[in-house]
Amino acid sequence: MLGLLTKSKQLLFPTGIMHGFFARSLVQAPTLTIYKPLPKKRNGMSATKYLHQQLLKKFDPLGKRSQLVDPHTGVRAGDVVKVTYNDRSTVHGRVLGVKRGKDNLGTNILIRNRITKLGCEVRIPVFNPKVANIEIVDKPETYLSRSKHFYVRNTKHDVGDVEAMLKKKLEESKAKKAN
Amino acid sequence: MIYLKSLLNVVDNSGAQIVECIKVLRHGPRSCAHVGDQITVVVKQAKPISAELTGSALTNRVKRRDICRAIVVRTKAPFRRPDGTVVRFDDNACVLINKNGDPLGTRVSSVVARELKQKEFNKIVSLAPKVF
Repeated sequence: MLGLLTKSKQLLFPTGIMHGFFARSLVQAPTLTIYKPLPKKRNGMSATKYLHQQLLKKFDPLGKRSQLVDPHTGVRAGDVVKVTYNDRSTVHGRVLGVKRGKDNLGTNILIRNRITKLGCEVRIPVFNPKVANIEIVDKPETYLSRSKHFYVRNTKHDVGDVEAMLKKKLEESKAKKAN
Repeated sequence: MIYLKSLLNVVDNSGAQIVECIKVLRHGPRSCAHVGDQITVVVKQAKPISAELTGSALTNRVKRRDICRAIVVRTKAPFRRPDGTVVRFDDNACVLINKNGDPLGTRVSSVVARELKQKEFNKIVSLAPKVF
């Protein structure tokens, strides 16, 4: 198909030149078949964009993950998330930043936690099929400034033990309910 | 990214606290050690040996300037897992081992990377309080 298209273009182009050339030498120009241009593929959408759309449809058919990383309504730096894998192992942590791909599968979230007083960070691809669920567990009352919180590392704003913090909050809320 | 002269924390109870890498074992000339790699280290800082220690705990104790083998258990440089996740810790850390590959200490005090399980350092993994 593509070959045909290029051929028709090649044929189209030299006709003008040939006409002038042959008119002077008084020889009849050979008749050329000019093909109709082919219909545009994908309504003229670029191939990469189309491919990324297809991949998004494949790995995120419900649009749940796209919603999660939506810049206005989705997860934000400072939120506490819980990531569950297909083998039921979980990772807790505070989000330091969301790296967004532009309409593609490149989006990932950076999570930081402190386990046995040691900072552990993990960057998780959001559209990874091995990730079963990403859940926002907790939101802070006031957010720190900036959309990327790399500066909190080893400062007074640094994350604590997230799992212990969640446990404590749960107990507090239970005690409030009991009262 | 552990290479010659890198300083590492020691996360076991062998007595060493800070060690310096002097050789990355079984690697190309210019490559560095990652999680699960074996290195040779010199003990730079160690806890003083107390009189209460007896038996194997005493014989496995290391002193300053001792040369040992060690396994890297955490790195500050981010490393990638096969599923695309990238993991990073806040420090470089190792566990001292003997020539048979068994840890010198009897305890591991903080988290270790999950890669050790695949590389079959099961003893270190089982001693660790948490695997990340």
